[in-house]
Amino acid sequence: MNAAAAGYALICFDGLNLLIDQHAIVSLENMTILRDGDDEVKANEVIEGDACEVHSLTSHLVVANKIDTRCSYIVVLQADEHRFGITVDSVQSFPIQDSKLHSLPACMSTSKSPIKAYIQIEERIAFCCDVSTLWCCIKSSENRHEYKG
Amino acid sequence: MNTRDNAVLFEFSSGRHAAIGLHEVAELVLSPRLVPVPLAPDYCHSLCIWQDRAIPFVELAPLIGQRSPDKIRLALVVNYFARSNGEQRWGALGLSTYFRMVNVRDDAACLLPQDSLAWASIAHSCFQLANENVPILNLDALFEQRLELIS
Repeated sequence: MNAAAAGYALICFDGLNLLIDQHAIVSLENMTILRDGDDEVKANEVIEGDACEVHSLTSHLVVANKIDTRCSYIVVLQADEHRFGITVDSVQSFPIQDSKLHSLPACMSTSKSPIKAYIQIEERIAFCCDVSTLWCCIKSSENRHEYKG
Repeated sequence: MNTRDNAVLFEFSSGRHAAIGLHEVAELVLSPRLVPVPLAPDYCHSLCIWQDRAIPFVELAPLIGQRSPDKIRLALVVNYFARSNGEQRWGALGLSTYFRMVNVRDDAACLLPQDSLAWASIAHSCFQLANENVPILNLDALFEQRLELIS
């Protein structure tokens, strides 16, 4: 059995800890540029290259009413052919073995949720998040902020 | 403790009670540490950290269309054996007040409460206590499946 550690990144926002497959991360952008001036105008200068939607999510994985400019970074993610960014407070590499992940109890899991498993990290719980399903959640959420270059 | 007591009666919402077998009780936890799970159902919205485990935390009030208490002060940690593989597992139930032990006799059996269809999915049976029909929970059914709430 291959016991090699899988490449995850631990991202944190609004008190929520998420594990994201590192292969789904396109880039990490700094949000300090948004702290001065008009946030809506400045956001499209942060993400270089192709147009990319940027969202702030709550701890319930619902799109927030507006971009949280207190966050430090924008993590740009790729889900199939979709590319999008989410604002986060922190990011760190987190290699773990998949055997350390626990499946969510049956009573709280659903096929529509991107959360399938969790891991205990000292005093915290981090949830393993499927990026493709996260994208579907975001699209179904009513509030969306779109920035185009 | 009365050695004839065979069940634990607890209040999960104002004036509403349920029961479990005495042997299914693990521990009463004051001010349980709960970690909300994104997109989890209203009745099972958090993991409860207990003895270095993360166990599902269930509130019965939303299952029967009632509002949960604003703050969870008590959790009853319970243990059961999963019917799927016989594995021992733990879960936590939200209480609105402390529980007490009772003796349930067969001649007290009655119909399930009629205020929610959910009881048929999560209760073994029911007994009458004072003027209330008190369901006896099937913990495997409660924790080992996702229940669809009917409004």
